[in-house]
Amino acid sequence: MDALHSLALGFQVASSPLNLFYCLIGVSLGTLIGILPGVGPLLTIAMLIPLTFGMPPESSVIMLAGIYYGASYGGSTAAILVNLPGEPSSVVTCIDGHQMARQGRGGAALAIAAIGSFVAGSIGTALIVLCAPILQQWVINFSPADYASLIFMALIATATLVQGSVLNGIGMALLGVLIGLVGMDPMTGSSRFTFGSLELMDGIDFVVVAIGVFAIAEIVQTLDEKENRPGEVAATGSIWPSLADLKASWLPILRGTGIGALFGILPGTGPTISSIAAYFFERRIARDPSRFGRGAIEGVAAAESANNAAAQTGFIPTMTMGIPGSATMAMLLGALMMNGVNPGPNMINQRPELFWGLIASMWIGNLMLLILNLPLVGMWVKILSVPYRWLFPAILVFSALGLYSLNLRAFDLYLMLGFGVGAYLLARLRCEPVPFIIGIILGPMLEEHFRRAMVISHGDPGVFVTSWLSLLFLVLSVLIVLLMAPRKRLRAEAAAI
Amino acid sequence: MSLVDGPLRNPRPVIVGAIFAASGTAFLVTAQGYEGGSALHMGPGYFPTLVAVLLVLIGLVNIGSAFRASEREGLRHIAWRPLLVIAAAVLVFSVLIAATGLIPAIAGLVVVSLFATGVPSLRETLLLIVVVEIICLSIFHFLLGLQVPLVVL
Repeated sequence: MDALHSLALGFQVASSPLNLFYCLIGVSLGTLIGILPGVGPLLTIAMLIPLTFGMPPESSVIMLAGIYYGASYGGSTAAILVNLPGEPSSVVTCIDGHQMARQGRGGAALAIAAIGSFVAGSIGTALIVLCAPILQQWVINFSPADYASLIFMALIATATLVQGSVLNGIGMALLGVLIGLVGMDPMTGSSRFTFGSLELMDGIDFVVVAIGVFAIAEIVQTLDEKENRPGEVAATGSIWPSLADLKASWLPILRGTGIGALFGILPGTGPTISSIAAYFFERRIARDPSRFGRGAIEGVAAAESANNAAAQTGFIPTMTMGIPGSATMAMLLGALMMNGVNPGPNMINQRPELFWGLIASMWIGNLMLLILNLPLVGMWVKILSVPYRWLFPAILVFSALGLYSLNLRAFDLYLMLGFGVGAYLLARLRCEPVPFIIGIILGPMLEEHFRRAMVISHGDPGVFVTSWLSLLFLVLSVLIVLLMAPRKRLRAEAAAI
Repeated sequence: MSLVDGPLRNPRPVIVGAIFAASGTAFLVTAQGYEGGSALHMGPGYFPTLVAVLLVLIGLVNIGSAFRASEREGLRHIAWRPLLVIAAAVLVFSVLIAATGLIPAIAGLVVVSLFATGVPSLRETLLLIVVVEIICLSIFHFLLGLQVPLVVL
């Protein structure tokens, strides 16, 4: 089978000593920041993107992806032992995980979380192996009009599904598209929105925006919140789950994996939503729902499997179609683009070592996480005693220095600051930065395919509705908005009352 | 009856809408300087104009939605102190790194940023400077060979 052959290539790439080393750095760092509340994978990836400049693209994406899925492991550790969700995707793990820890079964909860994550990760990897080539074969035959409509749908879906009002999401996405267009027009070579500035000729570096939004805005946001001091660290107890635990968990693990895998592929949803959905699904179908909230192991198993499965399958649209479904995926694509990779359906064909190496590394990384997390859990929890007051100056220095190291010019830092302050103020007005970030990545792609489609159709915009695929994507975009907007309004009104 | 009590109980959509409409207009006006071309031969100005018009429309709809009285929600407060202190810290870094070199720039950023939440103690400040200098210098200067002088005399 062709996929198996490609997977073998992937393992060859991923198990080179250098890439193993980067994978280990990625997952260790991911675990670390997953445990720390207020420091998430987005911030860490933004901070490290400048360091990956000049690295082979496969090594950089292996390390950055490790941070991403490693963080969900770390998040569960903090959630179970100290009742602090280190990551938003671990919020529901706190509910039953910490109860288990208080009953002296913290070790079992950690073990089930790790095993569930590993199983989900492995199934997720298998799904990618199965689906990615098929999807890619399908997308590669898209006409420019189909592809433009697909990008449009992805943009609308992300803008609609993130928190906050649909209007704000779409506005932020459009703003991102416009910012993404700054620089030289790739088709005519004339410069746009540069105001004669040479620094803007090459466009606004993605990493400038990413660091502004995820370092500056996030830090200000976190400093404003009351610091959650970890309370008592619950005793771990035996880390070996009993046979009864395993028996109770294996079905929730599989169900959680299914829910997570589905949400991971959809744009705009991701690990956080899927873990919440999986948790409440388990509670609904449980024979005795009252056990949930009092240390039901099924809750931990389902939630932790779901977020890890979603973290894995999120790579499917990103790598096969070049369309990121979440901010993290946009960041990974941004890092790849910086290292000279063109995102799009051709990525797998042109760079098989990149795609398959990443897939294989995720499986290896999940194995590393299993080994890193369970025996070393005590060491990781100690990190929680480092106050945020000491962390953020280090994060700031690291971010600023990394950005400066790219072009050695202060202009980038000023621009970064501008985006950071703007993103913070907009976030206070309930305009989330995620659609904005995705708009920056997708904007130039949308324009390119839109223009190509119009050239092919001799200037007739009807091409977007005469191709049935393109029409389908456009109808779906409208449906997403129509279905989500009233629901969100209802929820907002309910919250206001 | 003041406007805030009356039809405008919710100022947020107005502010957001105004921001969207204003930035859309700015892009729109700028894009008019570029060749628009026709639908068949699109110039560099065609697509940005399209998106900017959409953004202005979204802004206007947002402003309009404020007059639907069903929602009532205050503005979230803005943490001015951390915001301004951190902006100042990055500015200090940007200026110092060219003028005085890596070591003073890092120290400057750490010192200024620590004022974001309160007044730091001298001991804490010095300790943090040393730790951050060691981490950042070993990664950026020794490991990656960043071409920025450590200290400009």
